[in-house]
Amino acid sequence: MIDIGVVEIHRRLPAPIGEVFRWWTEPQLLGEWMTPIGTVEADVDLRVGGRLRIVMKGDGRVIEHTGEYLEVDPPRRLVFTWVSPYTGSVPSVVTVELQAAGDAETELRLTHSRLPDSAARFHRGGWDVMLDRLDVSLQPKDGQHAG
Amino acid sequence: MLNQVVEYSSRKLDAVYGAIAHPVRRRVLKQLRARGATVTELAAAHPMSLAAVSKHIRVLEDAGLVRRTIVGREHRLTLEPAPLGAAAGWLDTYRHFWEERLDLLEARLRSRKPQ
Repeated sequence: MIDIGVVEIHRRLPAPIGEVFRWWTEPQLLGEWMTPIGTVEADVDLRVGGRLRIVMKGDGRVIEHTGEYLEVDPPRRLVFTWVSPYTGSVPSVVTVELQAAGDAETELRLTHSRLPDSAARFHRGGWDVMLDRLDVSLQPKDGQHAG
Repeated sequence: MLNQVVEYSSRKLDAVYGAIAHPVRRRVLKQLRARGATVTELAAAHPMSLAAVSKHIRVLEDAGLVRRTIVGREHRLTLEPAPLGAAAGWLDTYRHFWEERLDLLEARLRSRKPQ
């Protein structure tokens, strides 16, 4: 499968790396922030091959996200699949990379890949640019196969 | 924003994704980018049978990415970029989702932190 749909986000967070990792992996802490609506329930089996389940409830809707941990390397790296009714048939992959920035802050890089479209990044450039980029994605590349 | 995610038909998304996930079909889209073409014209550029290329074109049609106009015996194909635009909005939605989640995480971390 060609990895064509990618969202990448950088953040500097105001907490030490170990604490940020906990907020990404402990159900109660995930429940504090992992939903745009209403409430969230998180089940986490934090080991490679373990499952995670995040159920967002509110606004008259229940949306279940499920996934499997592909890499668990506290406190630096977390990779899991992310499947919802809206990610298409291929599991998308979320990679969270953390790096300490002094004692009190953490650099976070989140990459959500294998999303079923690559167009967003090229939205402004339009259709022509997008096809060019699809071409690029056709080229053999340096072994980037998440999961 | 979640509503957008929810209401985007995942079936349609699968069709678009499936369509552009194959190199032959991407090449066909690229051929059609400049101008419309007949099935025969398109097939000439591929080292495979007309039937095989036709099959790929049908996948693109099913995804709504290619439109077929029949004039007499000629089947003319044109590019239909709209479904990709819809899918593009969908991916933007995911970016917003994570930006918002991280905003909230940042706020939570800040508020619990004795400064």
